[in-house]
Amino acid sequence: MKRSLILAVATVALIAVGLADMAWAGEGSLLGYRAKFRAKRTSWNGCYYSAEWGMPLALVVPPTAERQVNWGWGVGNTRVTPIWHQYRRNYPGPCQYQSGMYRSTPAWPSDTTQFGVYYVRGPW
Amino acid sequence: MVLKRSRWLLLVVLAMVWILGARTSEARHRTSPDLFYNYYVPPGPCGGVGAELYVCPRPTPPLVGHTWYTYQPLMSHEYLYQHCRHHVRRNPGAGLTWTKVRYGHNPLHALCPTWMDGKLRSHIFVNPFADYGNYFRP
Repeated sequence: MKRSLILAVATVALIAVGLADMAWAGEGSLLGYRAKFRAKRTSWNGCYYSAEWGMPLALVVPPTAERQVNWGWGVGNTRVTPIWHQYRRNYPGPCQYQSGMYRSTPAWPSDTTQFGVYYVRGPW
Repeated sequence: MVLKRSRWLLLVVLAMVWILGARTSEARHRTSPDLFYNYYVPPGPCGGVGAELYVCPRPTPPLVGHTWYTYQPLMSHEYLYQHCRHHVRRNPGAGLTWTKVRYGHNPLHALCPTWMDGKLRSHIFVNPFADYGNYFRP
């Protein structure tokens, strides 16, 4: 009886404090480092520009947001993907780009990534 | 024997909880001495355009011009999620200013939605035993 009580208390403490802090991409967590690692190797945009802004537009979402839903034509083309990129303090330096690097939204968009608006998690 | 082992298990679990909590709380309590800073997303590995957080939201019409946040706790990205932040500033000769901000949702505020959800408390702590020089006495 006593043993099960102690184990129950320990489990509740771990769930309430430990796992809550180990959120998907929590600051300092293992998965947060993984998101940072993946963000370094991928671009935050999908090479389409937003029609209103003229460039790819970063849409700020809470840093606790884990995943995004991308809708697309065809079977299996609607998918749930992680949001890897997050705003950080370090200035990356001046960017070099040309306006021709980015495409406009097609007249009949077949995927939500073609609208030129991309989720980026806000800073912690 | 079983009870002894479960006690050790409890100690190990509590130590893990403490370590995880300390790691995250260390990140939440930070000093922010610089005022007009920004947040960035670097371009991808093959170049391209980056992104910066402020001016936000975008796109803004050219009429808007530029905006500045002159007080860090009111920066709009802090309102995105429920958390608590401490701003600590050491003022030479004038003690320590400790500002605690809680960003959350109070269900009572739903009755009056125009209220600001963030609560802000600022304290100035002065150590009476510290030597602050001749020009300051608490």
